[in-house]
Amino acid sequence: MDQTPPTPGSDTPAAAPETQAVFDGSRWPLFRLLAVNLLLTVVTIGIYRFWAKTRVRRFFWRHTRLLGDPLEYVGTGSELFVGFLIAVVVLLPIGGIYSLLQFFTLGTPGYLPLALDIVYYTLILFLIQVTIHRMRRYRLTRTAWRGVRFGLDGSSLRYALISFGYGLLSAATLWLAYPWLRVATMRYFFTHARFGDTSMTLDASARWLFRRWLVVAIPFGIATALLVVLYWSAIGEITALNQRAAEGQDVGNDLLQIWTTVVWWPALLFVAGSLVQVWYQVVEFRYLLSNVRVGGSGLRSEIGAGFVYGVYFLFWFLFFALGAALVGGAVALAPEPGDPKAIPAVAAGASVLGFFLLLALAGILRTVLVDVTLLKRVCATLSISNPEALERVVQSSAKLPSHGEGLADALDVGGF
Amino acid sequence: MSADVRYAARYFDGRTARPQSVRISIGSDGISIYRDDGVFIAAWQPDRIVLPERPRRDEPVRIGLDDTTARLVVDDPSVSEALLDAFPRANRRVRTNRRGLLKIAAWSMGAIASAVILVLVIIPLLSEQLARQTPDPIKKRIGAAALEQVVELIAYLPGERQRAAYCADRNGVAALRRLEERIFAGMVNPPEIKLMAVKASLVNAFALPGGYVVVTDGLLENAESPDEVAGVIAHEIGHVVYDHPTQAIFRTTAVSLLVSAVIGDFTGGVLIGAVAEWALNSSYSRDAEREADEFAITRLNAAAIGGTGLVRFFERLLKTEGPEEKGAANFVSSHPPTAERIARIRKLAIAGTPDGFRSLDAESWRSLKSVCRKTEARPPAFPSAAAK
Repeated sequence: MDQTPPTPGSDTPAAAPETQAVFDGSRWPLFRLLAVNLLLTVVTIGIYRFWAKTRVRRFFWRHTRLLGDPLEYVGTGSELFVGFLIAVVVLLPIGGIYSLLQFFTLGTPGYLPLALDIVYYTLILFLIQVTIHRMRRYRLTRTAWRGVRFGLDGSSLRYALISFGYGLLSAATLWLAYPWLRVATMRYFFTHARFGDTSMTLDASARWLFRRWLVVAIPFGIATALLVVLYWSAIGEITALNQRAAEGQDVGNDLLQIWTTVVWWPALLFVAGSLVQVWYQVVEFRYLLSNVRVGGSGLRSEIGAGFVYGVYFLFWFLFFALGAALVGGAVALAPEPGDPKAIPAVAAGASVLGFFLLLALAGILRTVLVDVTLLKRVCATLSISNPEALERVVQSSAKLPSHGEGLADALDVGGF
Repeated sequence: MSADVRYAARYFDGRTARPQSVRISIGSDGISIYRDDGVFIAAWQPDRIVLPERPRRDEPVRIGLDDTTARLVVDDPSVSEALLDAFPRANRRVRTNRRGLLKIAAWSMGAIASAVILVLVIIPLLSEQLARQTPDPIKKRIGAAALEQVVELIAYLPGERQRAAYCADRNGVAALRRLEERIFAGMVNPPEIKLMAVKASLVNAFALPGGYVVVTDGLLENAESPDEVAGVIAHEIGHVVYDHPTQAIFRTTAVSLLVSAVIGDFTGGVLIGAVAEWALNSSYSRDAEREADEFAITRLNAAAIGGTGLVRFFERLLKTEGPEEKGAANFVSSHPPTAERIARIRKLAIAGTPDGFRSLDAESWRSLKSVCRKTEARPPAFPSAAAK
């Protein structure tokens, strides 16, 4: 399993894959739900978001059926709200102390404000890792299937240390070590996750992923190196132009030309790398999921990257078409310059509002079109080997966390 | 309701993940669950029976036992009617009952109340204390940093010249010094202030921590006599004396922290933006305005300048421009000159001369008006108090 990609055919379950997992949520009810949620969240200046999230999760869970039986989300909005209150108690003092220190170091020359920022953002980054484990624990303990809850053991501090340590290693190796970060964190998650009393395992190799990751890392690496080299060779010209600009000459066009030559090829490579990254993420998802075992049962995913590309391209095409239509409409409706009846503040306000509306709409459309389509596909290509073993699982007596994910909400971790 | 209406169901007992094929009967004493061979296996009490989700057409009905994950799944849709007939309370959502909602409402009211108390009482008190405890060198440093930021920000307002410019005409600066000396005439231990003009067409004046007092070219142009400018500057010095700028920075930062907590975006770094934003936008509290007015009146009286100039300036501003002009960055919006304030100055200040030349002579006034004929990109240096 370590060295070879998962081959379809081995371990084939008796039932056809289509019958094993299915997502049967419809888009229109979800769209209505999300639109109402958005409205209520805006009206309540954000407080409704906990109940909004809960309703969306209930929708997604309810429509995800494994072996014919749906998942059930048993969390409540008030649990999330209490978690939020606790997070405020933890984060307000940290933010307060940071602001105070910032105040006392503002305007001091040299390294002090920089050091403060580094310490603060490191702390926040670490807290985010702690939060991820706690958030997953909350979600799993609030998920039941066939009357049995999922769960997550382990310590969120240890997860944060692993994630943070491998994160530093990745950054130090210019993200070459990224697959090791992924395998280490995912292994910690899966080996501590359980269904009822039955622990899961993940048997994955970072070296297998590394060879796929190179396809992404090489264009990124070349782009970075090229950027440095090109910038280095142009630095003399740029300094000379800046000097002329300081003397009051107009050098805008010359400067733009130099920057274009410096940035053009690296930018192209970055775009290429980002496109390949979607492929890598699909491969990684398929690989990790296919190596998860729950007791005597195993999972297998056969989702392909082509489908994912198709979904994304269609979505972005739609998004830009919609954006262009809105901008075109705004331009057509905009008052003539110099029109005495035009009120600039109103026009500016309308365009700001339109922009936020487009963003909010894009979020909803993304969930309804992209997330639902991908989830349907993930379910349709998922198979479960030896499903009978799952029937032997017994409810765990481990204690449940009493409140949910406040820190994750405050630090803006995770989607729904 | 007879007890022998039976439905076929799939039963998840909440202890194992094994589905069991069962028959259930619904009666006034709850749900009884029998194995297919007729052996009784469980009874659910009436008050714990819930429908965890609203029954949907063409979907099996899921029945739950409150506080557990045990479920009965019934294909026959008529079961939900029978269930609601027998147990009308089953229609509640799992574990979100009336009392739960009341509790959340109470908590939310509590949270709103504490936020209001925090904003109206605790934060102002705390920022006053913190401002008092802040050592002067730190205030000066903050003031210097804030000054450059605010002047830069003004320069990029619509209609301005996109380049920070501090007015540096020698005679004009000397006239500013003279005006400052006139305001402080006869004062024991005058505060150390750094008075300067910046080139900008908007009409404004503001004070920053560490004694920085800034007037704009636009204000000097708008003023019709030196006594008007003297009144405005005396008012701003009042803010410096009472340390309002430092307090306001603490207050704005605390409020932004609170707001970011409520709307759920907590990545910090609120102070920097808050400083510039406050200096241009937010008004001081009415108490702070009153305190600064009182200081100005005392100084204008002691220096025999009188309140006529300040009153005239306020009245003209009120008449000629509303707060809309230049967005929120003008003097009117940051120091709302209410009728009440004007009446107070009229009552407490001695009268000046109608032409308004008690603070400066005509020649100094001309110099002051043209202080921005020459500008520099950097703020002027001020000699330390010891060197004066």
